Amino acid sequence: MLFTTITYAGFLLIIFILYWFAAAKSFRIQNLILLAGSYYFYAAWDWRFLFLLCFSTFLDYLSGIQIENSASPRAKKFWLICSVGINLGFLGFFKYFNFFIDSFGQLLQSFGMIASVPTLNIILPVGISFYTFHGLSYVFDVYSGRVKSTRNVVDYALFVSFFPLLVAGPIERATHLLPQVKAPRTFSAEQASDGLRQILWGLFKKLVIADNCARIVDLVFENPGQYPGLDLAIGAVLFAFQIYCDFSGYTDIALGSARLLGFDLLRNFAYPYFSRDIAEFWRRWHISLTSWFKSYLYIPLGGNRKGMVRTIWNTLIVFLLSGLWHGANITFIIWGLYHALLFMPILLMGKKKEQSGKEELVRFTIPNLFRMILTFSLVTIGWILFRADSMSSAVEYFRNILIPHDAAKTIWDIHLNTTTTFIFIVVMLLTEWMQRARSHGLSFTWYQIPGLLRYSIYAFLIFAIIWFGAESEQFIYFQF
Amino acid sequence: MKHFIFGLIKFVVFFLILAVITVLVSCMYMRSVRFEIPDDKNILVVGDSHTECAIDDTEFRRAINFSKSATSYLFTFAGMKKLIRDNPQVDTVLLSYQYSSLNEENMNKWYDDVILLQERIPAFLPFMNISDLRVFLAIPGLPRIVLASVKTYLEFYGHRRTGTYKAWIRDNLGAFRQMNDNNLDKDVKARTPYENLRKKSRLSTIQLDYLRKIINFCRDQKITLILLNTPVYEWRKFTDYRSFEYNSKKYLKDVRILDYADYPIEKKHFSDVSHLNKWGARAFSKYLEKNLALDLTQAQPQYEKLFLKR
Repeated sequence: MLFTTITYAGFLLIIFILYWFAAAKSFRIQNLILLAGSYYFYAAWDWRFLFLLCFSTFLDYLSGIQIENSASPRAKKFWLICSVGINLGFLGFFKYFNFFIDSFGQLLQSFGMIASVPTLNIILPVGISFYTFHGLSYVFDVYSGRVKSTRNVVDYALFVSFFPLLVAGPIERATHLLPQVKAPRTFSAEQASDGLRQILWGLFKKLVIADNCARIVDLVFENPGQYPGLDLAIGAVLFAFQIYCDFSGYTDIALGSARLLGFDLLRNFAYPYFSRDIAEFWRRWHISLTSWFKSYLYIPLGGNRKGMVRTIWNTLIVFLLSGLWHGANITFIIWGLYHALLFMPILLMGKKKEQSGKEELVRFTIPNLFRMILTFSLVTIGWILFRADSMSSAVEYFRNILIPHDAAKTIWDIHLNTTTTFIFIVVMLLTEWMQRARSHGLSFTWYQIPGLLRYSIYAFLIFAIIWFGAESEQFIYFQF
Repeated sequence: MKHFIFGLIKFVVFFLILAVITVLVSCMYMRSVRFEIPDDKNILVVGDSHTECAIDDTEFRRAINFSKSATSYLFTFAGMKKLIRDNPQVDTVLLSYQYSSLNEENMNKWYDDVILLQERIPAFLPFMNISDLRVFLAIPGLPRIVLASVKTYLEFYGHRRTGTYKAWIRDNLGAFRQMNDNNLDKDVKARTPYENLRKKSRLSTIQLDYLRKIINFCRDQKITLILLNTPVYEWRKFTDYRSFEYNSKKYLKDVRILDYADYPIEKKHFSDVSHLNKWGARAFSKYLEKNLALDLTQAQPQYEKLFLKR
């Protein structure tokens, strides 16, 4: 059930009506409705993996209680290791088994040994990376005493499987979402209206920009030799916008859906392409994942408290695992290392700032513009690694950008809407620039803009979606 | 909650009014445009892929081809009315009429296939009657298709400003389509002879209704309507020719049918069993250029005599 389909709109409407009208008096019943809806939502993808989700949920729920109830540190540690081991075991099996087996086979072959290693036809359960990290954050927080274990299984199951964030995040923290699950929610017209606006903005970014970019990007990455270098560079830029509008569009729809139900989820994007250096980019891009790695990996490893060498090492580990989290492919690992490399000068110069979730307002100055363009260019180079199917494809792509060659095609022939797509990218960038102090592109209240103008903006976006929206494609981050 | 729902309803009403106005204005604009064809072209060729591939209007010089693949008679009727009104010199219409034109199984999907209708409704909507839309009321997402059609008219406006609107007409209303391939042998292998299918064709009443509307319209406008059955490879083997003949006799007694199904054409001139490639289209169009007037005066088309002479 894709967020961009009529089916999802109908599903959300039914949940909204049941939630606010049929069960408004009891938040316990509301939670049950949300949990049933979330499991239905997940089963609509593939019902077989619902059992895996339930098992993972129950394991972490039980581990949380056992960690809290255990008197000895050894017993606490046992339950922590048990939960982390099984969760990462599932994740490793479903996501990385074939990758490691293949890599092992290749390694043996490079030593001259002919190895026939078995691989399995494993289907990746949708959202496994996200709900595994939800569960782990809870167990870690209970272990460290940041949060008390929850005794209500429905509350906990809802925390893990709340449908707006189930398949592609944001990766929630128990400290943030569980208190909302455990307390009654009150309907706020302002919050719900803002949720609808955020959904509309997300749909616009996904259907009008990301999916139109995808048509061009797919073709140039498939046959880079057939396009001139400039077109390939434009193709890479379009992929930068595709992945941003795809993932942040998804997140906007997720956050908007949650707001309709009275929940505030963690912010996942803070206009990352307005970043002035790579550290700022990572404070603004996929915030819930970077902050997860920071809290549960970087800081436990010692963070920046154990000298420069250790700080560099910890940063490298975080980026490496962050790359690997995205998928079982060497390109993701190299992409992670590339970002770690970009990060080094900032670490060495001691310019790294703490992630606060709120970035200072970027002012429009020539030096800032220059730094933003430079950062965007560096990030876009990284996206080529991210998008390529293999390292050899990535190298071929880079080579075709840099070395002049006979090109039979141009991206301007591919898709009638290439120019229109660029116009909408500019519209999106201008809107987000003007709204950069707020949480999303349409985040304004009724008294700021006259009603007719506001309605006209919404209508413009709906018309743009209907007229220029491409056939909806799967969200990129669903594969992770 | 009341405030939220009231605000939502207000916006929905605003959007619906705006959407209706946008569609109406853009349709009125399209209706106001004159689709002019050259003065020396007095024969209008309309219909589906059979005429689309068979009539090369550079060879058949008095004709202009506005046929489009998978276009039902409903859309053909809408487009044809507009073209005839805009071009008073048109005195003859050649309409594709072939073995499956009145076959329910083949034709009804042209009325309910959402993907196909997403192309056809926008192209012909401005020229349709409101009542024609009733046929599509059961189609999921009809309002969205209707609203999306405005984009087609915006594209036309853009093409018109740049003087390239012929490309828009080709893509939306239709034109001669050059098939450069020859897949006849492959198609013959893939097809089962009709007799072996043991299927009984059923009449598509909606196709027949709109075909009758076309006949009546042409009669009212004093335009000669000719139903054209284009060449088919081994017509009697691969098609339900009996139903074709039965329907023709039963429902279309009052209209002239030129049946070229058996027209002797070389194998290499077919694109597939029922479509000509560009060489076949060239040969067939040359024949029509020369013999159409004569064929109309006779009970049998001229080629049958030519064929017998051979």
